[in-house]
Amino acid sequence: MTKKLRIESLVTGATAVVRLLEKEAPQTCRLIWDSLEQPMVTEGIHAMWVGPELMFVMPKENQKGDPTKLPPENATAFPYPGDVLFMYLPAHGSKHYHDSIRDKPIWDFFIIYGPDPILGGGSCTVWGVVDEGLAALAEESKRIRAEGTKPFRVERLS
Amino acid sequence: MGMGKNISIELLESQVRARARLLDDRAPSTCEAIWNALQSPLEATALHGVWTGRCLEIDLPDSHRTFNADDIPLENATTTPVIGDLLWMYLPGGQARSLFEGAWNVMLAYGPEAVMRTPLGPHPSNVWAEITEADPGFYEACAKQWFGKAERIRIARLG
Repeated sequence: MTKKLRIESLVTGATAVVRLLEKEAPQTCRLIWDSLEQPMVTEGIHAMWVGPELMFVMPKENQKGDPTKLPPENATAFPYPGDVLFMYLPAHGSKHYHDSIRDKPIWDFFIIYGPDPILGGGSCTVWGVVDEGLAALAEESKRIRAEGTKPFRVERLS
Repeated sequence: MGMGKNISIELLESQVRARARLLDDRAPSTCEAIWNALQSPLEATALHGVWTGRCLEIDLPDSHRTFNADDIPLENATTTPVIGDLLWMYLPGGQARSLFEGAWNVMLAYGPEAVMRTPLGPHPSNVWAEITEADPGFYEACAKQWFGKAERIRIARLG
């Protein structure tokens, strides 16, 4: 059975559904699925380089598995609206991230919510696709840009 | 007051201010256009850049679009600003899918890894002023706009 995740804004109640691409990205899907054995509650952050990107930094309690062992799977530098990607960086692996998270390993679960993203850092694995609620995520992202980060819950749906 | 033209930049909620010097000699057309536009002080929301890294994006309100942006040539332009640069980023409407309304932006580079670009690629932008003095906490307040609420900003001529 196809695995799906539900994303919910804890502020507005808006929801989206992500379908896992297990055939195309089996190892990354396993890591994400295992990591979401318990629902993830984390802040939705707007990108500052990629453009139309909503980013979730996965909290420590939702880090199950070894992301350093993941090969590129179904990767691209030109993601499409609705693509859900994963990137791992060791602590201090990039100057980019916010001061509050830069000193820890970063598990970056991110969603391309609109056209014209620029993945300046190269390619990342596309492990999921937003089947429902992409327009709602785009609205949430605009609100985050104007008002600041907002909490979301991400959980297994099936 | 020193020689030349200066402006103040204030983040209204954080209550921090900076002073910037116009680069009349290097970017004369841009400086003239913006100085004239600042005949009355400008207040706008400083959104964080989304393709451009560590900079704030100040969309000039209609009240301050007092010049013909197509007449401003490239002058003292860069795609890789340094901290404290104020840039003019203009894109006519209708050219870019994801910025279809165009851009009339003053960009404030507040940290490293700022890059002037649009969805169409690198976008050389005129550096028309540079911050010469900033309150302690000014750049930190700018950086806070990434995770935090977009603040109102006020830009005004100084004597």
